[in-house]
Amino acid sequence: MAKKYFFYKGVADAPSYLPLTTAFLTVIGIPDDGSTTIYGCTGHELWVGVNAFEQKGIDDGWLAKMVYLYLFIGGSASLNKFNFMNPADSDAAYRLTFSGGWTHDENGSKANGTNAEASTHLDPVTLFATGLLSFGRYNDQATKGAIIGGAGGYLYDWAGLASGFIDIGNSNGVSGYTRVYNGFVTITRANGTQISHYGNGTKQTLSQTFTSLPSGNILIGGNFGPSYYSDARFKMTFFSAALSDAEELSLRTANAALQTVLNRL
Amino acid sequence: MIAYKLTPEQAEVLTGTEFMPDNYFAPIEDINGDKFISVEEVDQCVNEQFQWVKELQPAEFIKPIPTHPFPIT
Repeated sequence: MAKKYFFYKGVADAPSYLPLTTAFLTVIGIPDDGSTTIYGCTGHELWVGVNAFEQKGIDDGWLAKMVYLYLFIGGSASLNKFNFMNPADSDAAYRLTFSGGWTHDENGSKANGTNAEASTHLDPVTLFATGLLSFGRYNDQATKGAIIGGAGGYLYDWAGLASGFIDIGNSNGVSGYTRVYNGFVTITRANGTQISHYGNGTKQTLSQTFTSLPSGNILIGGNFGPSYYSDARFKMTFFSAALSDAEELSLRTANAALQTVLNRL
Repeated sequence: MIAYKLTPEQAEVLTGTEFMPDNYFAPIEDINGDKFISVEEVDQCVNEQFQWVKELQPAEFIKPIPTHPFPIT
């Protein structure tokens, strides 16, 4: 069984938090106290909420699969950029680099749909050459565009006006699913012949044969140039090894709990 | 859509520089090949070196026609 961390265990008035929570919130600079944050909750409530998110990931197995996990906590580009999995300020830690028209605040980071994108600095072929992976997002305000994309145009979650297309590892995206602009979306390739789209919990599996995953960084908010930018407001995004149905559900549940603490569910 | 038109020289100067900490200018071409920056980049520019962007005149920005249709299976 995974190790459990309890608050206020041991020394009185000395809360114990999990290592990723501690590292991340220390970098963000939110004190673990009763002062009110920009999210309306206290700093302590925020620490407890992020810690519960991490604990859920440990308990249910999805945290160990994560490469990047952006929580968009902090309210500015300089803080929303950090990867929860490794909050170092470097490309190697997959720290976001924002370019173009973004608006950053307590609600996340909103792309303007014209020229905004953020490089994750993750080239997925270096970790997932066979394409068995998951990526996803929790956002609102999207009406169009390549919400996440990269890998030379062989990996994307594109929400078009007429229909959506998703792709992991093929030169042709697939449609035929119910596209979801907003909410919690996960796209997974668990085998060489199918990909699955989870739109706010509804799973649809489509035929797509994996051919290759060309080199190319994953971008949030843009892909394919000026006609394909998204206007989504991101509150969480992730990239991981392929998640099972149970892990996807657990991550979605943990995210909902965290976003409730942040008053942006 | 409204954006702010740049000269080629202005676009070159701004490309890859910060308009606020950790957010970089990204001049983009319109349908005619002219370079523009967005309303957000101008409004939120706090880089003292580039306050001249606030003197730019707003202009109509028309996206280029997609160079390739989106792939369909």
